[in-house]
Amino acid sequence: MGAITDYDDSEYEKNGFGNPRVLRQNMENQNEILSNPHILKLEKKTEAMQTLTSLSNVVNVADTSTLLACQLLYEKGIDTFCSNHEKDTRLSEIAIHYNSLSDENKKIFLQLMQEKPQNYIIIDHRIVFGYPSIYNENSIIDENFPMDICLGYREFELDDMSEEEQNLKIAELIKPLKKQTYMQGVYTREDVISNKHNRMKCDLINKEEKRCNSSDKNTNQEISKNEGLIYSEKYDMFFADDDSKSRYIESLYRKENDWRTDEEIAIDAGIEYKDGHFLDDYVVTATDIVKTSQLHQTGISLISKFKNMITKVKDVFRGR
Amino acid sequence: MDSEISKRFTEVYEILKYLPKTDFEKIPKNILNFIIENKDNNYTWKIDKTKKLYEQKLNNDTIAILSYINMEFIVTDEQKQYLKKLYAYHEYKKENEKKDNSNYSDIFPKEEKN
Repeated sequence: MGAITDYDDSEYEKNGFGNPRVLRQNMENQNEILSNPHILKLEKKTEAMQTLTSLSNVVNVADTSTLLACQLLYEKGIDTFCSNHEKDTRLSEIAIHYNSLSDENKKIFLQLMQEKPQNYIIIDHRIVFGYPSIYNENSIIDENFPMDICLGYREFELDDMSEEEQNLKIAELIKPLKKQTYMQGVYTREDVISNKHNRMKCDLINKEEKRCNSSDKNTNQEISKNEGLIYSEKYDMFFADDDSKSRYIESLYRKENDWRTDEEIAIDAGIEYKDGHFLDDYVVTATDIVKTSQLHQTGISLISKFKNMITKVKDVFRGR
Repeated sequence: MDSEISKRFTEVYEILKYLPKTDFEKIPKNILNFIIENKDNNYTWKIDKTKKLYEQKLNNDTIAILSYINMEFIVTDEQKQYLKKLYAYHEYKKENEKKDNSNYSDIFPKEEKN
């Protein structure tokens, strides 16, 4: 996420806009929001690149008018790596990684690019110095390398709009994208062997691409060690780091318009949440089940009893 | 469905959630639906994540249902044949143990107290 903006929390609370639920509700009633100015003094503090690992933290890092859009992206399982709002010029833009989009969302994005070329652009990450902007020229899409999507409004498009109107307007750019599983820094075994994890690294500028030190002959554990990735047996996936893994797990359980806290999600899903990360590493393997049945000397007649019970029920096997 | 059996399906469903994704996806939807429809939703049972499955206190019926699912849908055909033999052997062994115990009680009948 890009610029970190300082919000006046007390004023936010007083006006009821510290709570993202309230802001979301107001999307349904735009007249009300126009009569209730609430976005307050804003100050750009610093710039930072980080993986957001908590929906509740978006408010602390999203840049003013892009807040709602960034929250929507988070809920949809899409990583936002930069948000920018120029208070004086009113340029507002958000950057996401093209390759972190699902195939369905890539198609939607390409459609949006055609319909509103001034609001959606795609740039080869390797030619961008600093953050991408909607003023950059479109690059030719090459799925083998990191591509940045920038979406937003140029100054004149947000003229005479309050911050809350801008929030709603930018959020409209996100709405067509669908909920997906989080994919930034998440790789299949095939991805890793084809070196996608190195090719997609966003620090490639002026650097040589690292080679993959693993092959099809390696076990998942060996690949994990060779490539410095985290392997999850449960999901059969490789992760760039704990943050990506946490976002991936969260995206499996958080729905759209889902304002549950991280703790609530973890409890409902029966998974662990510790030190700001979702953990879900407990695995029961086929071998565990066999070991258990060996220990209990499970006999074939008892197994057959349940087999008959399950298969006897009418329609159970319909559609197999 | 018998209420005790419904509890076993609750336990089975809870355990299946911890299968690796690739194994979980091998279980046919209608089998999962059967378990979901027949589990006891008022009964809560949680897996102890500090222990491996075989270290947990589990009901024999729960293990039998899991063994059926594992043998039928998760393991390879070769492993399935091996497991069939293994579970038949368990059956045979249990039967023999029963016989041994009954022989033992024939030889050493319990003394009747006067």
